[in-house]
Amino acid sequence: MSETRISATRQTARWDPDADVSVADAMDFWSFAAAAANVVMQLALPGVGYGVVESKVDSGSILKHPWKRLRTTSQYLAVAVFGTEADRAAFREAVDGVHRQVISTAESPVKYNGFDRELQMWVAACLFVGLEDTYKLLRGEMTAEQAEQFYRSSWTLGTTLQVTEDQWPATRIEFDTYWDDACKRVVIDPPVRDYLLDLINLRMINPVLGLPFRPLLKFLTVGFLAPVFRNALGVKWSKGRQRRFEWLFLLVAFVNRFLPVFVRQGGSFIVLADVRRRVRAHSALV
Amino acid sequence: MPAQSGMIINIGAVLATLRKFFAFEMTIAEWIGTAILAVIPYLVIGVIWSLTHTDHLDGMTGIDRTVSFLGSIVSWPVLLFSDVCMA
Repeated sequence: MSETRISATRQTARWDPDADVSVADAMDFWSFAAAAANVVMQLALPGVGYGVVESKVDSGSILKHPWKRLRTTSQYLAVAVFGTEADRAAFREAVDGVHRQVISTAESPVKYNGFDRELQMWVAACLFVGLEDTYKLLRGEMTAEQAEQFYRSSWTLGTTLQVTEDQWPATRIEFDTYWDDACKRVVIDPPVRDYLLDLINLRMINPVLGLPFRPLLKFLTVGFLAPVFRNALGVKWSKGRQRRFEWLFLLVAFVNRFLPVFVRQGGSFIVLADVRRRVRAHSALV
Repeated sequence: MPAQSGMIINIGAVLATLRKFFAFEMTIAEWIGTAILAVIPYLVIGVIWSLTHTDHLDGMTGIDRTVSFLGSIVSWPVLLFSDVCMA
């Protein structure tokens, strides 16, 4: 576990120990600090990694169209977490259209397919892990019941696409087993590593905009990676950085409690409204 | 009913939205944060307004001058419309 999940010795205390929890509470905008780390985690499974790196769908490439990819990915999360069944169906149809083009060729080092439910389960599991990590940093540790409730509420992260409910491990404890097991298959080959390092170094956006954020993004990204992913990517972390990371999120968590939900999560509702507008206007979702 | 042309307001939907609005819950911390977020632009405008409207400070000195200046930062919306005697 300690190799496959991040851990913090200093973590904010819960202000509402008995409250009902849901993955929606994890959608505060600060959670997007873990976005690049999540991409690393997802692509660390070779089937996903090569599928993305070799993808011929340029319009969906984060290195070629970073702002569009930011929109579509944030919309996927907003639809999966806040959307209605109709929103999810519309988004599924749009994503299916591009996933259909993601299929390995004879030259691909590994076999993959955009509709592979196992690969999709891995990506959904990464999203869950990312949101659970950020949730705990922002709101504090959960009780066993809360962890279960939170876990159960996040299944739409996968079922919005081809993952089925029975693919999710039945309980939060069983998920740990799945995760530890799946992490044994984590390998980042050089082509995928180059791709990910370009992303973390913000090579896809204007350097005037990107350079000032590079050190911060690197710090956050490596901070949100569990040791198994850090090792696979070949990046270093230290006790001092971990201490700064934990203090940073103690501060962020404190500030976050004072922000009303329309500030914390307004962005997700704006991109969700954009999804609905696109559906009404029959314009492209992804 | 074509006689009712123009904008038709669906009163049921308006009421539903209003009910949702009035039933919206926020924690006290969130209320404090909202107040801070609202007060920052208010005070920035107040400082700009006060720095550009300093005529009334001419005849004043010391504490009166300071209090009058701070007062105009806080009460700039009123001062937009009327001169309030602050001596």
